[in-house]
Amino acid sequence: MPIRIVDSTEPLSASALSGAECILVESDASRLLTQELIRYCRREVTGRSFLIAGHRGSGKTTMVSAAYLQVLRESLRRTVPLRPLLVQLHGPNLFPNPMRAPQEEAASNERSTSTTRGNDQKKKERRGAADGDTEGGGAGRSGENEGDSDRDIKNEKKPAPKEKSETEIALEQITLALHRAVAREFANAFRSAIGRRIGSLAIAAGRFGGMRRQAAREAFELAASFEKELYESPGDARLRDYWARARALGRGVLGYGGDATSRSEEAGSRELVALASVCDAYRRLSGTFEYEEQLKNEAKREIEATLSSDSLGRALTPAIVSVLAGGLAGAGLFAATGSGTGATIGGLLSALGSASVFKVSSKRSRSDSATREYRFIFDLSAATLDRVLPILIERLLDAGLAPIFVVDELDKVDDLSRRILGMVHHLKKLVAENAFFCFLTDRTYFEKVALRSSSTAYPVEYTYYSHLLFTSFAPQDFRRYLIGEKGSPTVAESKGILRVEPNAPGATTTASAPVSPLVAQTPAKTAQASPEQAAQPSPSAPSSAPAPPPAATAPTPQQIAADDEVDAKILAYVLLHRSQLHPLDLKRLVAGLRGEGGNVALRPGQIRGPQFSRDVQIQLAIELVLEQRDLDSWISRSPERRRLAYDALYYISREWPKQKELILFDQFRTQFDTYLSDRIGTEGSRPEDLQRERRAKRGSEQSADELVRVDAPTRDFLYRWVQYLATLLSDHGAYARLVTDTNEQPQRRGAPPIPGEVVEAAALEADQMLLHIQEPNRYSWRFDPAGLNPNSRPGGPLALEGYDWTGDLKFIGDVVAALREVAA
Amino acid sequence: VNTPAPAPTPVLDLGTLSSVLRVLPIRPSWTEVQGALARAQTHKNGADDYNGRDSDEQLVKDFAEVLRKNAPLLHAALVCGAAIGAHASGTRGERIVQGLAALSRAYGFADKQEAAVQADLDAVAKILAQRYQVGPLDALRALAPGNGLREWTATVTAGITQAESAVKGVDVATIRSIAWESVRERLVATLAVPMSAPGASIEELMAHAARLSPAGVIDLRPVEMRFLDWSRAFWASAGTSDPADPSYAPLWLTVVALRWLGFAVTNDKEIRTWLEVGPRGNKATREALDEAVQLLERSAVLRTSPATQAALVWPRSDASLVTEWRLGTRVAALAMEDDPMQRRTARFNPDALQTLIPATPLPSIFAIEEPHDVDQEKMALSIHQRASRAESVGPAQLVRFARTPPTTESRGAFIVDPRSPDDLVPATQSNV
Repeated sequence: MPIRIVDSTEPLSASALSGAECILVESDASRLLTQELIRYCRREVTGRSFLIAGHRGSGKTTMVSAAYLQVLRESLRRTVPLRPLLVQLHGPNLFPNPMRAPQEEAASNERSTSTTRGNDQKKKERRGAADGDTEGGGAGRSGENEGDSDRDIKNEKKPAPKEKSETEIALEQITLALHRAVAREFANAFRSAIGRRIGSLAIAAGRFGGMRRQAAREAFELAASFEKELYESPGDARLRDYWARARALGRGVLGYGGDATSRSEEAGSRELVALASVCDAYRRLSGTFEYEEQLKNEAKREIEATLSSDSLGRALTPAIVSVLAGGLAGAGLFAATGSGTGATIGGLLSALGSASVFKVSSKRSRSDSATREYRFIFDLSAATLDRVLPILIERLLDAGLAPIFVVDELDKVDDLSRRILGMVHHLKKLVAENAFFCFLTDRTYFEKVALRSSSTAYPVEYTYYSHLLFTSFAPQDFRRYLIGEKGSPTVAESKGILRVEPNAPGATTTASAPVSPLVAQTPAKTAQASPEQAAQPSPSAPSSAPAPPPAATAPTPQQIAADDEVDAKILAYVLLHRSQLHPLDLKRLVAGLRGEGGNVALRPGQIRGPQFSRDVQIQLAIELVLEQRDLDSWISRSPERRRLAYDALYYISREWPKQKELILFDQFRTQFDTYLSDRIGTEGSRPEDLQRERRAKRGSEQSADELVRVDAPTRDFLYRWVQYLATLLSDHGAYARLVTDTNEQPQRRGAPPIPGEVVEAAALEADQMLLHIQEPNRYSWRFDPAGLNPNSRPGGPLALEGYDWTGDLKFIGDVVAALREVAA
Repeated sequence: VNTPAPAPTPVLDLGTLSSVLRVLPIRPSWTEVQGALARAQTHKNGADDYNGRDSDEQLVKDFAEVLRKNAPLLHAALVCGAAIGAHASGTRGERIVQGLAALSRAYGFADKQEAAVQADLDAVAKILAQRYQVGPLDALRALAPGNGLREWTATVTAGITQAESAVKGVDVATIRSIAWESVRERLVATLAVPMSAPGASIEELMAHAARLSPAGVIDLRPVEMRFLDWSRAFWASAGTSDPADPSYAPLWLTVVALRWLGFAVTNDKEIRTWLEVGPRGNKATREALDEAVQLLERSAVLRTSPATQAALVWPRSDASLVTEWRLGTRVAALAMEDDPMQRRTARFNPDALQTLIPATPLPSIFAIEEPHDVDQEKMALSIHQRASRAESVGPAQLVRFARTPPTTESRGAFIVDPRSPDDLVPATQSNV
């Protein structure tokens, strides 16, 4: 069968990121996620928080990766201004197991205490207590350590490590992952920018002659150095230096982001701000990072009162006093002695003496001083990351990068529903409003959230998750994945993984392989024998021997392509049935189909054989049942019901290999209930966890209903549809009427009519139906999964017993010859 | 836009009748039966036992039953095919296949079971009997081994001969003329109510089988035509005026094609403007223009503004930049914004006006602002430099223009890449 299986790349692979074809199953959920991502990257919304649930292997991670890839490609085409930046987080790292952490801590303590094993038991106890106790407790015991050695004192004074809250751990993990993603992005962008520069140099070299290889080598060395240094948290100046050397200070290295600024000269500085901020945040977590700022204010005032001779003010008073003293002394001497000369000399001497006395006694001093010193130590601890992260995200957005946080494997986190609430209280603003978060989990948590939403009015999760998505795919989603949007596998139109290539070199060879070389090489003369000639007995054969088979011409490429197109459409139904609409099983089946040269390993037309007819019959019936109004509206009310409906409807398929009577009486429903319970249990929703929780809560065994977790009305409802499906698979008339009715309502269905070849391949004939009705709701199987009638197996009667095929061999040969005659 | 070369006609055999024409059931597969027949032949014509003989026997048994059951259907198909394909070229077998291919396409045999196919063929046979005096198929022959088979062959051969001679008596020009009238009524009716697309007439089927106009222009199922197909129809209407040319299309098709492409044409002035767009220069006669105007006046649906999505695929030029681009990676758009149609036509220069935009996904409308002053310096730029320059203005213009439905006066989008337009579906079809 020359139907080629296309090798689709995985969405996060290097090939996919560089533009290789990536074919994935899309669903309503994936389309919504992509649309919201696009809006985020257009900055139409500030943030979104998606809870994406699904059973194991349902393609949750792939869905997010595919949405990211699509938006990334949009950004490269410039249809969205920001480039998405995938930040992957491992759920169990975000919420480490609380039981494991103390054990690891204890093991660590054990290792540290072994170095001081010579110390007394009291010391060991003290260390152990300090590790586990509060800081206050540790401080209270400090007085007991006075007699210990210096080392012990040092150990004792070291504050006990404070146990981090879950929010702090989460913030650290988010920051680390963000740094990793940003560093990778910038490293790549830097290298590309360097490459572009080298390219332009080469162009210039073409013009001016001679490319400077040395310059190119140095440039790429710079890029390598930058990449390495990014993980060592370079400083602002160092980053700027890199940008300057890459000549990216103006337009930056990212070259795609940041709405209008990407084209402006501001892009480079925005990138630097964003990158430096992320590096700062990383530095807080990767070592001891301290930043101190000091401010010193000093005010000083000195007051000094000194009288001296050179000062006029200070000189006048003693001078006057001296003059007065000298005058008085002179007047006294003149009155006493009557000698003017003697009185004058005496007065002068008095004045000089008075002056000298004044100078000594008038010198005084006073001084005031005030000093104020400020010391500000930045709090760069991890605890402050909740304030830093929104700023980081904002700066990244400004630089043209839209971070998308994907928290995967949350189903491996114990007690998730309780623990995530703690984070909700602290980080709701960040998670739901300032960034784009995707939380990937299994069905259990999803159902708990849904249950809480229905039982409590507006619980915290109500606003914490902006969207609750459940990954489930409709049959047409899978078919689109297999044979393309238009349901046609021809290579010109198909975007699916199964493609028919009419003119592929291997196509004809493969297609004609099963045809005998004799047939293919039959000369034209033989091929145009008349019916009479064909009817003549072969000369070499006895008269009773059958006529030779018709000499057929080798099929033309057009015939082969038409054949293959039919086969591919039928094959899609067979694959969907055998995978039971499970993405992982479908991929495995397709991989198993791969033959030589990447083609489907089936002969042309083989898929239309009896061993596949029942697959088509069941699959088509299931899809028709799923389209029925009641069931369709039941599923559409809550998308997680889709998988449950699938499980219920594939009940008959799962019973088929057993080949026991199919009993669908109402009173014998227990088997169906158990089956449904098992299906839910094996798809990863772990009902045993719920069972354990409930048992612990109530202290009693569960009822059967609780075990199944599907309420009785739902089971009744689904069971009725299984009964209806069995009716269709046993009544070809009812089945055919349903097909006709469905095709006559294209508007209601919103889908193209069911392809005629599929209806034909379903073999809707009385003796070709899968089930044979014994009495209402009691059936036996007409065929086993190999397409054989159970009665025709070894030991049973042969289906073709007594059939002589020689007559039909001749008849077919005659018809072929007759057609040739007509066409001549 | 080059029309792809027609595929070679497959031979008339059981494989073609089942897998290609879908007249006979596809199950069991003729290819599988052929394998069984070949294996039987290598084992003494089925006399010897061999591994897997049981399944081969089952295949042969089932296929023989299919043939016996569907003998009347086969009889009707061969006669109707011969009548429809009477004007086709090639051997009788090839003519029958081409006639049946047109029937199968028009009536959707691929989605029908034998009974429905038989009903369709009966209806066609009645029309053929009424209009072309093709002999009635009342006595549809059953297939039986031996003499019965010989009788069947003789009857069918006679029926085919009579049907062919009856239809060949009618002039090809008459068939073509009736076919175009039928196409016009169908296209307008389908535009008005997309869900009620009337079926193709017998003459349309004959024209398709013989690859006469309108076969190369309008598909038997117009709702499945893509932007590329409708663009071809538009350019065909602006092309040759010789009805004998397979690429001929009447001028009124301009108006209808534009409406299918998402453009609104409201008056005769606009019709004339559009008619002058053709790169080969249109020689619109007064009568042709009148016919287009009359059609416009008669069909209110043509005057309404149909969609927010419109595009016209521009014919590829050998001198175009796109000859150097890898397929599927980019498309070229010719900008028309703020540039009246007549002026643009006068200044049309493929190399000067082309610019680049991302290929997929295609927004509702492309519009890149035309570089009004294409100076010598710009012309001298390398392809790479021109591409970079064009990219820098692309998305912003797309976003802006997407909100403005196009009108004939102002704008249109012209996509040159031969692969990307395949992804486009006319708005009318998306409504379906």
